[in-house]
Amino acid sequence: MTKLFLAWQSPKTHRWFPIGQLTYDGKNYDFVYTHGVEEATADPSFRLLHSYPEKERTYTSPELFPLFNNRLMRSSRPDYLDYIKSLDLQEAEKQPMTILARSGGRKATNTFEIFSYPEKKEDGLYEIHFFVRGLRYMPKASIDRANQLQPKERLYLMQDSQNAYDSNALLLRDEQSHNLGYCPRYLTADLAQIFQQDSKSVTVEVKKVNLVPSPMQFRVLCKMTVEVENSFEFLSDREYQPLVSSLSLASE
Amino acid sequence: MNQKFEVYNIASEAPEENEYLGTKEKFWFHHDELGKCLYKKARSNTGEAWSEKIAAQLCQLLTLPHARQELALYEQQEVNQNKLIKFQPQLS
Repeated sequence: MTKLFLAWQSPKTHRWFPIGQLTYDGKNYDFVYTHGVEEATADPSFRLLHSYPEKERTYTSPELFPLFNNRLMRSSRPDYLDYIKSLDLQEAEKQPMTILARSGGRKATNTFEIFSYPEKKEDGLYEIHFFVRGLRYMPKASIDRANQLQPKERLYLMQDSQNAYDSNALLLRDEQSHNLGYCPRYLTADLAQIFQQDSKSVTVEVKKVNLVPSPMQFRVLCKMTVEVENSFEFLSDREYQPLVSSLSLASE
Repeated sequence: MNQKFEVYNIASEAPEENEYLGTKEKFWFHHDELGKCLYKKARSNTGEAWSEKIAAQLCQLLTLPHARQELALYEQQEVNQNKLIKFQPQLS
């Protein structure tokens, strides 16, 4: 079963809150709020999502909910194929959940983001794909360097502890120490924990570079491989757990 | 009296984010003077570009709320096929 999380960013504090979870079992889509919504509610600019007015309820539909569907490009659009290509998805992967997981579904008109729950592969490794974040705020030299990156090139993570927005922020650099942008925020807390055990268990490499006219948000696609002990779980904090109790889930 | 509307040039490396809604090619970018803008590619010979520009001008004369619209060139396409729209946050 594919599992995606929905995160909301406060326009005032710039803090991110995971507020919901979307799953698909091949037949139905289920949306539930997660405990992160309790913290978000403390922010005066937060409102419960219009389509999901009740916090403790499972919303089920055989069709993808508009909140998520509006974050997918229609396949009839002239730029659709370029879009799928820039996400580096194969023909069989052109499923809504896969596209949302890869693209993040960001919209310029609001501050929601989607990301997927990292799943362990058969060989016991986690493989996580993400686009380098914040490139458009980096100096021109970084953008120029990003445009020259080659697939399979190794990238390295650096702690940016004095970052004004996120003290867990992880900056990405290349072999020659050119700064390129940031690792997605939802991974940074887990990676900080992994680094305490073994900093060599994480490797990042360039998967694909999408040059102009691809939008800057999709410039550098990375593949991160993580080797962790069996007991470790990504995104296991309470804020990622569904608000609906397991009891009421079972009764539905 | 005759006054020509300015046609803005959009740099080829300008696209920052996709806009997924709608049937036409479009993207968000930052313009030094106008701020955050949405570029929408108009289909040729439909008048889509200039009709929206004129509608916006009429709104202005009638003091109706509207998004600012400008004509623009992206990737050397003809002027009448293109337009750009300045994004204006809606007050709720």
